[in-house]
Amino acid sequence: MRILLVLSLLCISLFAEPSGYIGISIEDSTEFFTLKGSDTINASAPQYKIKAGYGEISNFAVEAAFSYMDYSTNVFSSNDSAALMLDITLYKGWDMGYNLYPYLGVGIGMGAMKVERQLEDSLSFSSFNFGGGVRYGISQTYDFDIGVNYKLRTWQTISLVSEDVKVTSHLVNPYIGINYHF
Amino acid sequence: MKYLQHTLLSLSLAAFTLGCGTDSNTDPLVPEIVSIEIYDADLNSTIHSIVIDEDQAQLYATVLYDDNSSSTATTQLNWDSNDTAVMNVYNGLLTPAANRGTAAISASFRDKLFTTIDKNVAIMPLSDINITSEQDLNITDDTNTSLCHVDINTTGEYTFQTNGTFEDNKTTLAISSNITWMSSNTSVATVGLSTGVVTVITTGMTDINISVFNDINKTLRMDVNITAI
Repeated sequence: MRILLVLSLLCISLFAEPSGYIGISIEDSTEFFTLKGSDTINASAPQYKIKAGYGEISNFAVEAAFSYMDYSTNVFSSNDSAALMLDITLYKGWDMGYNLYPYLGVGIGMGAMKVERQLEDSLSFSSFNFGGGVRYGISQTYDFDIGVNYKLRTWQTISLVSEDVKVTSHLVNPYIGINYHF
Repeated sequence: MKYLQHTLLSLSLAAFTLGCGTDSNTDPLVPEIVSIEIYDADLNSTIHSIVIDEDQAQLYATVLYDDNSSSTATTQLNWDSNDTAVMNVYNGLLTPAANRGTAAISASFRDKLFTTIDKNVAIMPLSDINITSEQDLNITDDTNTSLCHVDINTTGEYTFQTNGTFEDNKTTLAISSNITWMSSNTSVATVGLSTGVVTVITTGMTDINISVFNDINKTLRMDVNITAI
């Protein structure tokens, strides 16, 4: 019991100080695409994310995340490839006791996806995202992360020769992950 | 503590499962370009095109998509002539230049789709026109002059057509536009300015003057001799 108490204090101590961390998470959701404000399609998009951040779990932290996402439905061409993206997110967390650290986050991102269209080989996109979750300190250096994000993406304009069309998409994606603090 | 961990894990799995959606559509959202077709004012996209000397001709471009839709893209394309001494082109508008010959007219977009829409446009001056009639009248043509002749002996409407012969002496084309018809004696017969429909009124003689692009002229001398039945 005493050991647990010491570990818990150490854990709190580590989390209370600014520190670096790395982590992984997995996300799955359905992304809703809209073309010219009317035509729609939805595609499930599992995402795998590696991330690195710096800050306090119970206060502010900034995080950069690199994600791999592969839509199971062709959205832009008959042979869409996977998308890669980079997100930068600012978090604000709180210490609620019991090793629980709820947080809110807001961020921006950018990415690109290879497509096989006549006029485009790849499409870039930018995104705005916000969300929240809770981290649970499972040891001195590890926390378990669960949360949900809302993302609004604006895709590169696509040319149909006679006109340029805009595609936007949005999704709410729950995620789980684990972070290692050092 | 174990209970809390278990609860968190359960919640996370539930949330993850909720996030898994099903796909409702397998067709891409954005239509893909299949081809770009070039056609002329007569919507003829297969064989092209005799452009009469000193005239301009407008080509149009239509983009065909894989969802069977289409859209016009004449002004969005980059048009090019491989021989500007023969033909210039801008926004699909063909303008013959000084030389005779054949110019390949192409249209491209972002340097792509180039080969799919390459068309040849032969530039040949019109050399002659000849007149025929729907009523199968006997029209004689003097090859040395621009005069032809027909005898008519009943009143009524007669429809004439004009066929153009080009400088290669092989190509002929029915001419339906840029042609004017005028009668020199409207008391004998009148003619529709662009239709070639002649209304014979009474006995007499009139010259039906036919002009194509105000350049190629022909006269149909009409001798009308109304005979009582």
